Amino acid sequence: MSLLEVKGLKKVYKTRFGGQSVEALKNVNFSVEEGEYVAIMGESGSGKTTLLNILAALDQATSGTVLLEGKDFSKIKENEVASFRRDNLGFVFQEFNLLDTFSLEDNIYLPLVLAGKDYQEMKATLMPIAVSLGIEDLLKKYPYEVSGGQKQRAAVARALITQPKIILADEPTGALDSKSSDELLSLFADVNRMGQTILMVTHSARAASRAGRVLFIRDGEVFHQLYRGEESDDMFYQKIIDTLTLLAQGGERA
Amino acid sequence: MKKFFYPRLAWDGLRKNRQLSRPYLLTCICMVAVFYILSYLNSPMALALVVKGASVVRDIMNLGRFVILVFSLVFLYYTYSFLLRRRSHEFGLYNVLGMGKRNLVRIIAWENVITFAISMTCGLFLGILLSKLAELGLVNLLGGTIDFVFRVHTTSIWQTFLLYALIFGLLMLSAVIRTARANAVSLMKSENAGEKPPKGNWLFAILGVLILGGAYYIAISVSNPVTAILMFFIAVVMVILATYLLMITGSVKMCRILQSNKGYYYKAKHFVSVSSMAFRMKRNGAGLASICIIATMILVMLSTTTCMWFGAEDSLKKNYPREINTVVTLRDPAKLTDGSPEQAAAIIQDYLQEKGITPKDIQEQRFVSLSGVQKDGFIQCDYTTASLGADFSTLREIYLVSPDSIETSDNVPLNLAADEVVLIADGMDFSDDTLTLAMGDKKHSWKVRHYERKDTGGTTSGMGFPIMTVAVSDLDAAVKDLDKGDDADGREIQSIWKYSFDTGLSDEENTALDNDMDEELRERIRDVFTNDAIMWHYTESRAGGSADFYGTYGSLFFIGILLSIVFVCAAVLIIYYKQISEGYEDAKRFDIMQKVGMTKKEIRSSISSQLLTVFALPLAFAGLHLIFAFPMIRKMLALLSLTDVALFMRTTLISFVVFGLFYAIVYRLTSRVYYRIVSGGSQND
Repeated sequence: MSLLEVKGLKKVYKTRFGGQSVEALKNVNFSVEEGEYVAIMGESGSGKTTLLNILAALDQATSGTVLLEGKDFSKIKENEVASFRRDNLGFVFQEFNLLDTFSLEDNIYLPLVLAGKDYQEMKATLMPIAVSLGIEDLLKKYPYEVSGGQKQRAAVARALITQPKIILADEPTGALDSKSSDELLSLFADVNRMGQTILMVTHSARAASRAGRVLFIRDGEVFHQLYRGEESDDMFYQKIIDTLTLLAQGGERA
Repeated sequence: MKKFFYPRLAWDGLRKNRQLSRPYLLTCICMVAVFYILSYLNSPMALALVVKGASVVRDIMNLGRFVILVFSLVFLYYTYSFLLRRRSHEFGLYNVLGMGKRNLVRIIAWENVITFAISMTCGLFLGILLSKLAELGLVNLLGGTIDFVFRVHTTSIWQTFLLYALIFGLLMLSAVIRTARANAVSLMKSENAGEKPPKGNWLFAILGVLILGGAYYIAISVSNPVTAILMFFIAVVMVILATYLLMITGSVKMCRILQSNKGYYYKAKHFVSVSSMAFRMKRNGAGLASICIIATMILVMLSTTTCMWFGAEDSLKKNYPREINTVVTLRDPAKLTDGSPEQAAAIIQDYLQEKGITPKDIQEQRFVSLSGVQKDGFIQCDYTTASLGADFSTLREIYLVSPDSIETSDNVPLNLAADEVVLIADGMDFSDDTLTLAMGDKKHSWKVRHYERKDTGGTTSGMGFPIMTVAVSDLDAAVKDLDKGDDADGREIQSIWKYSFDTGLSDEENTALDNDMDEELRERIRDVFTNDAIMWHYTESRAGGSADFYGTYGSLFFIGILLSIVFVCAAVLIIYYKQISEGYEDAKRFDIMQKVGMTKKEIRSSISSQLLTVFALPLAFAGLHLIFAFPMIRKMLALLSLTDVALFMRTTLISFVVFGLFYAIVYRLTSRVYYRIVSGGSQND
């Protein structure tokens, strides 16, 4: 059984007034195995964000199913959604989404505190993660005092600390300079090597080339996918670029 | 088309920011209206309608006008700069799109002109409309002719127009200077610039507690009503300072202390609330302190002026125990016992009989009046040393009377030896066996025969000091040992004959009778006592005194209510703006928390508990301030012969409850705006 299974996912948005409806997702099917590192690529408007919102249980699909370890998202009760998200999913966002009223340390603790964990226990969990992410000296600082790369690493720590089944990353390098981006991507690769499943949405080929598999979405459907196999980052990058070019041309022709 | 470009842009700017500009406009209108109303009531046109104490009304209305003007300037400046800060993004955008500073200044200028025009038109319209209502209210309070003529006072319109033009001119100037100094990027950024975490300064927090403690100590320890007035202002300044210190840094420090308690802080229930509160208080501390100060101001004003108004009758009766009082103050106590008072009383009675008036409840008093400071074993009666600077709790008024003026329970006249007195103490305890009065170096002692008083009126003097009524066998002899004669400050020992009675006539008739008696009987009474012996002599009526009383208390009451309305408007506006700005700040946070795994319910309950704290804090502080101000204000009211503590307690309590209810309603309404902003923000993302 796959860790995450997405079958026949469809999402239709209705405008508030009148019957105009927009199909954001048409028919999305894919699955993610445990320990995999999957990148989802697509241009803006392709439905990436909608897909991620549904996978994050922040939004509900019009039809189709999402199964995490065989558990159907649509079967989760309204009042359990938040705790389900907290226990099973870790999030990394483009805009970091750190609360400016908390120090980095407290930002990282947030999901654990919500889960009712003890302070000593939280502290013990945090230290190894902080060390491996290289932010152990920054923990007392506030978001406004540190750089974007450091903020994003704190956000990764917050995602990891609950030991989630899967990490959902939404354009994690979108707001970072190239050096910080590379550092973050290496971090993701390291984390993945230790067995963490990652699903990343991006439109950066550089970012996608670090994943084990890349799904291409266009017009609300999985259009194509690439496996890295034994290829190096650079070779895989070239392959992705080629596919994107092909996609773009195909788009024009169609 | 091009001609109206800037006015149009300015109008659009105001319209698009309705949520901010509309309450601001309403406040401007309210202030203009109230200013006009006060100006109108201050005009000869309106004063002519008032019967009682027109001159007092004018002074008080003038004071009210001044307060409103100063308050308008400060408050409109405060709100306007808030408005500008929220809109700096918009101006930054204009700047980026190619508008120079000059163009921006023109837009701002036009906005001010439009705001001014609207405030003036609506404010004056409303003011003129409501001035009739205010006039009716005032006339009703003070007594006077009620008519239904609608009056408009053009001079007041002009004054209002010019003074508010000046205020708006100043506001515009400040806005122009602000814009000229800023640059495009900082304008765009200023709203969401990274914010330093609040530290909570120990020094300021402790200073705040100390200053507040000091102010409270002053308030409860002052015993002298005269120094109370001075100390009250000092205490007020201290309280204001302490409130700002405590709200801004003290509260943050409090949150910090809670945060350092790991066991408490890292609980789902406290985690988000405590850390957000620290930021919230840092940002809103000043606003909350302002709300608290304004609330305290309203409460003090309302409770005091209503107490004055409802206590006026009581206070009047204390100052004028009968409807008509004739008072003769004499140099020589011998005149009190040589038969002159009887002759004078006969003159008055004949006069009344001629006029066909039967005096009722006649009260004839003869006493020698002294005042002194209670010292160790004696009472020092020199007026110079017993000046008002002394501790008020030791000040005594002493009335020396002849034995026959004390009513005994068995109607047997008191028989007193020459070295013996009977003493009745009011408002104090006196259990010594001897009474010693001192004047300079001279002293005179008596044995005290303690005496169970039959009449337990239990009153203190008009100023609130205890009164010692002392019956001595020989007034003349008692005083002779002490009297130093006249000195520069007047005479320290005064012998007083007082003839008071009720007439049962109307107020107008009583006033007329008082004037007639004063004029027609003056020479005859002076002849009886011989001119040399008389220090002064006058007849007064309660009705005549009531004009000043009601004029003062009535117009203070009126002003108290009117100013309270204005201050309430101001407080509402501050609360409203606070909710809006917090709403915008929290919307983003709300969104993040949801993504990180908080349920909507959790977020909502955390936010509403924070809002409630922020809401209750100023009210609680205002209540605390009021409790400590109470003894001080009570003492000051005592100076005005308002000694009814129960009444003052009632008016204070009622004011607090009414204000609290109103505050709660405003809070409910404004939190709706807040929730709309917060939930709207999370939908958009």
